[in-house]
Amino acid sequence: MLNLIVKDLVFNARQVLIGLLMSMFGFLTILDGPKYAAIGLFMVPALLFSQIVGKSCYMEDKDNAFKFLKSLPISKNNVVISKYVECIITLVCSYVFMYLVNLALTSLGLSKYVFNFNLVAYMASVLLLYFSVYLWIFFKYNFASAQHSTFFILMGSVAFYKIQDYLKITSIKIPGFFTGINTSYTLFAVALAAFIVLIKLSINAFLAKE
Amino acid sequence: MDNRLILHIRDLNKKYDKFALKDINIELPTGSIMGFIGPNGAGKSTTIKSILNIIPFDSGRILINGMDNIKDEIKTKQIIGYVGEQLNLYNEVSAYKIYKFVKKYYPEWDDSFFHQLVNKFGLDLNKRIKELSKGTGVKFALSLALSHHPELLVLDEPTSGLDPVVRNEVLDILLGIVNTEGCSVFFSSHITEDIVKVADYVTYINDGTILLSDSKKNILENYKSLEFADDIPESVKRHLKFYRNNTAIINNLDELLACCSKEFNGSKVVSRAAALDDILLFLIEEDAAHAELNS
Repeated sequence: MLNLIVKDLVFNARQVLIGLLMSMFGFLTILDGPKYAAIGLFMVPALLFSQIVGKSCYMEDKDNAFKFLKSLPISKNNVVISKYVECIITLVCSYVFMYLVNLALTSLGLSKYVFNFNLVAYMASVLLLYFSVYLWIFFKYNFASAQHSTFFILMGSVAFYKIQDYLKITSIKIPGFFTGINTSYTLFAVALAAFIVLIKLSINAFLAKE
Repeated sequence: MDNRLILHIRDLNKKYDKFALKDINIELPTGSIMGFIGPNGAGKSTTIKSILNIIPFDSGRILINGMDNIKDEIKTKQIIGYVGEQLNLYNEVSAYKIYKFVKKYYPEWDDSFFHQLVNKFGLDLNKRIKELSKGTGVKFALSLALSHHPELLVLDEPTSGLDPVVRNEVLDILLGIVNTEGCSVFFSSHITEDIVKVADYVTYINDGTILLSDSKKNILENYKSLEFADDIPESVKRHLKFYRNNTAIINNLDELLACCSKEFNGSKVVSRAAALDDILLFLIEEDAAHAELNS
């Protein structure tokens, strides 16, 4: 398993570096205080995911390298699970790093950003769902189809905000629904369950892939 | 050569929409080389990918040195060296990085042997896969496949697309290594020249069905090419399954002579061992005739 994760990082070293640099733009949102917190919490892991996991999927799909992996004495389950583990690593590292950067900036008086763990749980849930659906589409179909899913996620997000706006205009309140502790963590539990189910589905898809 | 089987395929079946592997049975004794011959689309790659468990199959069993290739997938793959028709390696990555990745999966990996092969083949490991020519790519894949001293080497048309010079070079080196290492080889190709050169056993496949599987010696003894100085007499043609111009392929000369020896009178005929290509055509014709008869 570790070999497979290291393989994705080593084979993809340049893209990993570019991803890290790109994610710096996401860190800039910390300087703007809580206003763009949700965007920062979404953008940093999403950029890293796209550069690290997404690019490794691209390479494997473009060169049919999954056939090469299947010919080696590697557990096929591990080939799939390693990609999902990379998602978790990307997510955890992004948030830990953001937290540390924020802590350092706060101690220097440069940040007014308060790390809201409910919001972190909420954004992590959304990303976890997105990553796992992306990988399932990749294993079931191909990289191009998985990339198209990005478009639907974006459209879905826009639609979601528009609906929220509409609900506010008509004074229908859903107090604390998206930031309440129980709701955030329940959503996280649901995302985690979906993540596990999608790992299983991805394994089945990979086993059948020709 | 001993009596154990390094590869034993039993009743392998795999169905696609427009093609199916039907009851494939193959036995390869340990220490032997088997050539797997068939036209494009006959099922050679599907069989080989089933051996490696790269694709799932519907029914049947594949044993590698007595181990089930699905239940003991990791163990069986550790004793197999595989070179596919396509390299399917990461094109943007250097050969060195791929070698470093692959070696971790083989407990028997022999680094000094790998570097010997790299030197022998004249490979530059710093080059990215996409920078390697087809021939160099095959040599690199062979180096990876041989460096853990596999007991069974599975090669899926490794020489297709190579020019004759590189093809011969690859075959000679391969044969040298196989002789030294004593590993068994299952080798698919539609270039029968390669098979004649290296194989102990030959298996013919067409349209997902095994047409014939026997030792090369027996096949070359049984199948003869009859070359008539003039046109083949019509009375003889009636007894032939396959002929082209003035050459006929037969699998039992005695039988043919028994039924039409008189018709041969006066014809100048030379009999010699048939070419593997011609035997394939003969078997395909024979199979088609059987199918027609059954329908």
